[in-house]
Amino acid sequence: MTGFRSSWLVARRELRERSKGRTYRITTLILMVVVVAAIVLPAVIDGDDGVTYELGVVGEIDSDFLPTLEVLAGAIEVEIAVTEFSSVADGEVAVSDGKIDGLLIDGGEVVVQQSGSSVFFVSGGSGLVGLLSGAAQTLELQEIVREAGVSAEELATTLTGEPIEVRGLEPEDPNRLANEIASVASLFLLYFAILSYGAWTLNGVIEEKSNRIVEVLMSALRPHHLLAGKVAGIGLLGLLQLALVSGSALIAALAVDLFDLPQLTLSVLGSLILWFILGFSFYAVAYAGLGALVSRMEDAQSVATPLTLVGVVGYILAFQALEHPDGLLARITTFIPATAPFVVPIRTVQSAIPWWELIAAVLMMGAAIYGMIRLAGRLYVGGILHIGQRMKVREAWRSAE
Amino acid sequence: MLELIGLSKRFGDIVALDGCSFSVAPGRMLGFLGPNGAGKTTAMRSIFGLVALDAGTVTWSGAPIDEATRRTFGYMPEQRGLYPRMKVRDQLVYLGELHGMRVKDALEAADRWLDEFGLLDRAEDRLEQLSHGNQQRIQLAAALIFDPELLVLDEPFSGLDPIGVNSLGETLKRQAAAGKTVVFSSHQLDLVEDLCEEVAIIDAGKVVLAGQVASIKERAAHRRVEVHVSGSDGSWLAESPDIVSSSVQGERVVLVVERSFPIDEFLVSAARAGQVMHVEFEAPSLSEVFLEAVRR
Repeated sequence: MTGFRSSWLVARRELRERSKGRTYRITTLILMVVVVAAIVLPAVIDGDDGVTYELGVVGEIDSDFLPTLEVLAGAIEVEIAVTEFSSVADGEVAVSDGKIDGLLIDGGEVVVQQSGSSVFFVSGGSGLVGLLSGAAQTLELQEIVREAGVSAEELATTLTGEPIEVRGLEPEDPNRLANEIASVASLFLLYFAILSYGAWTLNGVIEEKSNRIVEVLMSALRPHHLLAGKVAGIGLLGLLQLALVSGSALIAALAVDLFDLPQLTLSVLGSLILWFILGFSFYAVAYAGLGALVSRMEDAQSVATPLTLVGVVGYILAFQALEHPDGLLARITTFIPATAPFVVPIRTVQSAIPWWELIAAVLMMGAAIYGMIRLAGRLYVGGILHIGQRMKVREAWRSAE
Repeated sequence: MLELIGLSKRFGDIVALDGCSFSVAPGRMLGFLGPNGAGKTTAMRSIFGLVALDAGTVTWSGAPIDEATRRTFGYMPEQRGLYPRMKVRDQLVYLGELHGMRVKDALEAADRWLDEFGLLDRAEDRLEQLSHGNQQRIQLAAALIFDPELLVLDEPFSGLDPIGVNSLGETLKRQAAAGKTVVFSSHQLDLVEDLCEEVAIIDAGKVVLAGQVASIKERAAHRRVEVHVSGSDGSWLAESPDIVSSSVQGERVVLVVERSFPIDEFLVSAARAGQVMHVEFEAPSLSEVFLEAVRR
């Protein structure tokens, strides 16, 4: 039997046993719901096919009033639906029943459910009142300027034209919002996935030591095959979760027309997967090496805290790349193994990384992973059969000789 | 043939093994005995390469043990260990596969052993749902599932009730009868005496006594004598330089004597003192041999 087969058997066990676990299923589900909600909710709340005001009308009104009202409403992308009532009493019943947002009486009075302004309800009554007042003012203004000898067309041009010209220093980017959302989501997902699956590796190593199955396993396979299988199995589990979460995010994004599909999707997905694999390998092997130093679950936290802190710092450092994806700090952290998995995907998504930096970062990461396998792999081999008090790094290093 | 040759291992200031050597032939079952801390577990672990030895080698069929050979060895460590939350059958199949079995064969073997131990109906339970004794049976099944050539069991009887002890003993006997090599450590010396033809006794990292149980006992320096003379009080017992120790319990006299002890004369004096109801003259028990061998 080859070492590869041994590792595959170990990886397959991790995949099977852990994917059956409630923790995995629930976290996957929660992540999917959170990501989908984060994409869909904003689109639903201020979606552009949004608000329609129901206006009731009773009595005589200026023939220009309703067209003016519609022009004003159109400017803020709101529609007005008008219903005529035969009496004020009928109209008021409709208002109090909530069937209409407001009742306009003789073009001069508005009845709403409750007057006054509200912080919470921007739509509904008060928004409509604002539009109605605007329409009335516009008509009055029209009257005044007409008396002053200005034609209606001139007035209309002035009112609907753009008074101030806006010029951006950089060309307008239609994908900017989507890019930003994708960057933040990638960063969050990668941070969550790399550190939580890294912690799974840590716990898995300690679990095997604490329940002593490691002795049984070691009578059948070599430590580095066990390590490789464990990291690969948990990594695949992470990839599967990432695929489910980002897949549902994509479907949600498509459903609300957030992305321009092909271009952005490929770069987001590609860099998510690539940097999860690289980042996870780096951190998981390190976690496994540290885990082999202790024999009890209670010691997991203390032995892993320094590494977790490194990850958290990497995550925090990545925020600067959101703001300045081609700044100096972003470029430096691109080449540090602990931060690269968080920083590079952001720069990739924002198209702010030259191709040679990307390739160099990947190569650098590959070298760092190799180094980590040599370093933490040796601690793992040295510590895996040690039972009892927490081992010092130097002891584990020596006993692997 | 399993041979441990001159094994030495220190852990800091502690000498765990100090030139430990013994061997077991196929078809034999060896009881590996020794006081706590004598080096039994370290010696057994070294067979699986779980200890980096300072000196000495372990060989199988005359050659050092490589990875492929080691995979044909079954091991039950002193500290039992399996995955508590994994289902019993899955767990056995996994270990079978790790030892090179195909899934189909591993499944069959798992069910065969579960059936043998009367646990087939628990195959889909998680290990932690089983009682202590049953977990121990699963641990043994884990060492047996791939039909190992060599079976090394560290304290396999500890924690088992008499029924469990009995059935485990039968299982091990059958393995030896089938030509497998079986080594197990134990503190239950009567049990070892019943089960094993061969023993090795280790003390302070060295094997101090090894061989056939019968010949070890035969070679022992002392004999045990017990005689029950009705109506006597032990005052008939004459002094002799061959008597190592004596105790009189009412009408009974129990002696530990040198091999050269003149038993005929002793019995004549006993018969003169009263009616002899019961006589034993025998080699010491394994426990006594053991205590003799490890006396500091």
